[in-house]
Amino acid sequence: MGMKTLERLKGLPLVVVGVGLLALPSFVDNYILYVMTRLFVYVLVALGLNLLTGYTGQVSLGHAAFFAIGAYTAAVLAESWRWPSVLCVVAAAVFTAVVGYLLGLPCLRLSGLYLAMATLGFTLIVQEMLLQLAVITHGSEGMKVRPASILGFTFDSDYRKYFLLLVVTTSMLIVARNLIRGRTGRAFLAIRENERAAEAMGVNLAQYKTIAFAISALYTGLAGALSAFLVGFLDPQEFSVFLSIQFITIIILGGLGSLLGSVLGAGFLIILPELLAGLDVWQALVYGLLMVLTIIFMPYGLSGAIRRHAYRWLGVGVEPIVPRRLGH
Amino acid sequence: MIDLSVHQLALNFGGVRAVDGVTFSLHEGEIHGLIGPNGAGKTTTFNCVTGFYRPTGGTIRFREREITHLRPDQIARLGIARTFQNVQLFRSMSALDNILVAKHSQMRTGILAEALALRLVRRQERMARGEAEELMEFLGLMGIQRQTAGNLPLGSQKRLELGRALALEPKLLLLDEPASGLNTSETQVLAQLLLKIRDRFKLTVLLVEHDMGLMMNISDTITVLNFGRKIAEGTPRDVQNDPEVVKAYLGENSGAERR
Repeated sequence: MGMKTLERLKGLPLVVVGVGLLALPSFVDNYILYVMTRLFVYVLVALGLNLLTGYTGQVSLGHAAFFAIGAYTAAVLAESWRWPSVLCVVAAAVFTAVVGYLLGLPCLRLSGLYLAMATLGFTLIVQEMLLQLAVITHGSEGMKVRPASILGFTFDSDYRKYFLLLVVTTSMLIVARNLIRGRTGRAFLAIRENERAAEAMGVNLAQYKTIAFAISALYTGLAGALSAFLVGFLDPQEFSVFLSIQFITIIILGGLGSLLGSVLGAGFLIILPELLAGLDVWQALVYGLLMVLTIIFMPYGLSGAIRRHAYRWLGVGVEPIVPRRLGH
Repeated sequence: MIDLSVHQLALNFGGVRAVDGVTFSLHEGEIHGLIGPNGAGKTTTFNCVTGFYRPTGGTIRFREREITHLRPDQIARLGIARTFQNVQLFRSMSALDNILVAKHSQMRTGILAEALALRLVRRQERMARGEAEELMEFLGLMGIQRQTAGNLPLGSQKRLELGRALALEPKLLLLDEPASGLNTSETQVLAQLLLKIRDRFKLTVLLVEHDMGLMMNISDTITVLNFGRKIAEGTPRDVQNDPEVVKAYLGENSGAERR
């Protein structure tokens, strides 16, 4: 009946968005393409962070550090070692994943706010290392990175960068969805929901928490590496605790434990300031106010609100339950 | 054949001997009850067997294999499933997903294969889903597969938790106060269900209960604990008439009155 038709129409918004994103470059100027490309980078990070924090329930303020590690690894390999771009990006993502795994090991003993503190410390350490290891990172001078190229095809225009990021981000979104729907995703959720019960069902907590750290770091390192090539310059000041807080803000506003939330949250944080640019001095104020209102009226983020209303008014999906909040 | 043997089990909590040299064994296919007044050490024993507590002394063997110092997830994968005294579901996951979590260790897929949703992964997912639904049908939980577990009424939640334990395909099932919160007629239904489960899945069951009623009906053997020690063991009839047991239960009451 009506409900079944609605369920079947669930794929429709996806198709519309997909066509829209493919057609977008024909209609807008370079600046908007640049903003969109930045948005894709943030979506990648938000997907990674949500896998760890939203799905597995492990809070992290260390993602600016993962982002920096990905960016600097790619930059150093490309500029100092002259590696091909693809290898730089892949190596940076894998290396960041290894670092994430290693950070996950001592973090097994922590949860909630304590875990947040420890990962925050990690961000401070990595940023200081970027400044101190000047032999490799060029310290406070920063690093220049030339555009990426694959087999002679150089991603030097906003147009080309846009499509590169569109393809990578979409693929990684699908990968995240596959993981979430399978055995690994259920283990993550089970850990978030109830560690004791998860253990009693044969889920190795240490193994899956560290895997969550590694996958999350992989996404963030990948985003960092791509961002290095897109922006063309690395400034160590960028990778501060504030960036980590921005990442967390994205997934909380968008919706914890929701892939759609990662996308919407990144959209909120990246696109909204652009829309408010005309407000001049009032911009920060209005932006902050919107953030406060959003979290008050949509405590489970934009995706949580959408899910709630879809169930209530259209009968789509299932009755949502109040998920646990961060740092419970 | 002996399924589980607990030998001289001991656990101290900061000077308090919660379990003090308890020995008992479970024969394959039996329903074994563990009873005793409050604080007798039933749940503590239970948590030692399932790896949630590390005993300070004694050994636990499951089918000739020592499991005394294994982690809960390792013990679960060996075929020991449990439920909790207060229902512990994955509350914001669907009922079906709750059961599928227990299928975790039966599925053989790598993360990379899952990330790419290879055919092998999809096939295993379909199989696990089929088995989970079959189990839900057996437990009378059809029609609620997609509902959020935390929104279900308590009765369904308890059944779902039981279903989740069964989905592990255990050889030994440990139930911690399955009748708590149920009224007399619901307890009757549960008793029948437990007998049916034991026969259908060829299980050995260890049942912890505070109350005697359910135990007397379905247990083959009963072990009685008091203050961390075993005070009696035998058939329900033997145990019921044991003077030590009577004293333990009545003694507890008179102690309470005096206070």
